[in-house]
Amino acid sequence: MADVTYASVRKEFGDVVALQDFSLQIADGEFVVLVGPSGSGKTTALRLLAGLEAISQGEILVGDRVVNRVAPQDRDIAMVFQDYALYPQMTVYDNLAFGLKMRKIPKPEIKQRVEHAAELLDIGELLERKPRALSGGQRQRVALGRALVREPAAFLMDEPLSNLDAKLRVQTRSEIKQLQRQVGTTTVYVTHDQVEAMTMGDRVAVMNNGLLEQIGDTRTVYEHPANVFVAGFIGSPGMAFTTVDASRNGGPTTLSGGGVSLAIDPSGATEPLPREVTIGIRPEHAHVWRAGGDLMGPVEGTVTFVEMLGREALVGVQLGDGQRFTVFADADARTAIGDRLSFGVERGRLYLFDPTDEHALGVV
Amino acid sequence: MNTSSRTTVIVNYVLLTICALIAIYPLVGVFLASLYPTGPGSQPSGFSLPPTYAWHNYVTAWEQGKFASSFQTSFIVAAVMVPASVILSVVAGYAFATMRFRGSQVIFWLFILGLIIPTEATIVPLYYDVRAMGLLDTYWALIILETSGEVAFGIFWMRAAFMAAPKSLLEAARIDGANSWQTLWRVMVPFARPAILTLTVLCFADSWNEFFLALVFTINKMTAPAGLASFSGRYTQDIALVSAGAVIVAIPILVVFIFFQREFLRGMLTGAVKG
Repeated sequence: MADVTYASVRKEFGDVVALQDFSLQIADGEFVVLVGPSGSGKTTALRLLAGLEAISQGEILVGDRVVNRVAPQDRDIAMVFQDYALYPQMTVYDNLAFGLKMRKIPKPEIKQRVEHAAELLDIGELLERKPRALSGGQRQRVALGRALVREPAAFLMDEPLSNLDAKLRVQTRSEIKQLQRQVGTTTVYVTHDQVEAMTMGDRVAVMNNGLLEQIGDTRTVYEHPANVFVAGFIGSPGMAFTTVDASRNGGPTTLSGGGVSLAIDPSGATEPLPREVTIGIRPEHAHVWRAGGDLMGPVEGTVTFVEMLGREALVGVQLGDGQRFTVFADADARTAIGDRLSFGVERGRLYLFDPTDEHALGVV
Repeated sequence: MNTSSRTTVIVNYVLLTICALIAIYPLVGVFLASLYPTGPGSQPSGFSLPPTYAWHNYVTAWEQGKFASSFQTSFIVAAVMVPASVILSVVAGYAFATMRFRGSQVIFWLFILGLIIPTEATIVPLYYDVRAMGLLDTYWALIILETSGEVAFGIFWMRAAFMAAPKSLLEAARIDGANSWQTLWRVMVPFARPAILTLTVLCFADSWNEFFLALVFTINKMTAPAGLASFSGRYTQDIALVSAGAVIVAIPILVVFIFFQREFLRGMLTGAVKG
């Protein structure tokens, strides 16, 4: 086991910069999720660590060792691929044992390690089968087992759940997390699914366009997003934004424009507000306006959709400037498309961003 | 099954049956002709059953056509040429499919050129080369020339087969600690087994059917088809015997094909049908 360090790593494919100035320290035994939309550089970062791509600039360390020029097989890492990449002609046993055979581990030890991994993953019955005779979930376990038997310094997982159906994905998600805690191996996990990222990672690294936008534990990333991208990407349904004028005529600061009129206490902001700010509101913090309630607002708009979730409903509200927000409402709220609706925001849950470079200005 | 798809199936089967009959008919015709009695007055026809079944035609043809000798040549040439071609094609195809090296494109297209240029176009200079090497009328002349011709196709074929393998399979093997050689033999070859067996059958058929090279480069070491040609030259009158000779020459390919049929079809379909 070991910690993993990316130090100002850059990767170019021809003229395309896939990853730039990527620095990340992953502690021994930590579970870090790289999350971002496609093309964000997350898989590139993982493949650089695996040694499947060459680094253009910077350094990657496994433990204290710089591995830039170390071949994949000598990096002491194991990888779980999105398509599992099981050897189709080998039995499950041989699939698990292959990496150990190649490393000339004595046969009795191979047997013992394979059986131990099979027991951990509950695939003992499948050892004599070929991959094509396995279900998707079973293949996924075998792929995990192949990484597990190697007892490597780090596990690298490249969207290992994306080929499973929704139900199995949720189940396997917690199993992987549990397994990782059990063996305590440093894990770098790549996914485009922010729910997966939030539920699995000790820390989440949000990436976009080859840049690391923010790294932090799940709570920090959710509650204190570093910029508009992270705020919009993390959370489901996502945060909605609009840009308004901030004015201060002697009294309290007011944010106004496009149907928005909010009086705020700017003391929660981390820096003085510019004349224009982008506000962000998460659906779970927006509620239908009731006079006398403890909400900031009201914000008024037209209802564009109503989605019944059972216990509550999601209501889409379009403001005068065309921006759309989503609001949680009681299931029995009588709202229809086309109605006018006012909503308010919980105190301390209104996110402010600088519209010029989209960095966070704090939460009020 | 609804009516339109049933009609489609029926039409398909009718068309396939007609094509199969067209393909099979000449073979059956030759086989029927080979069983007609020999001698004057006999009028072998592939369109009707012979009056009596002259099975001894096969013995006569085998002896008079000296097929024992030409079969020996064909078998020896095939026994060396087929494994050599397949192994070279597998190794080179793997390199072209998975490795990046300087000039790989140019070299690959050079091989493809070998596939495009017909042997007839280069036969005269080849003849002088083989003569200069002192290999005229030897097995080696046939083995070397046939192998070089076959490898052009084999590389093309195996490269495609290896490129069909998921890239992650190669990467998994690399991370598991296998070197290129181990990855080839333990992961890629098993993966491409249908393609390799198909190539083996095709190589054997090409080697066995070799006529032109044998005609040009050998006198005493004729291959089976060349032997058949000289046999039919001597017995043009006796269609029954010539037919028996033709059947004899065709038997080994038939046996090999039947033996590998399942793998052969799978190999032919690899890439065409996602499996």
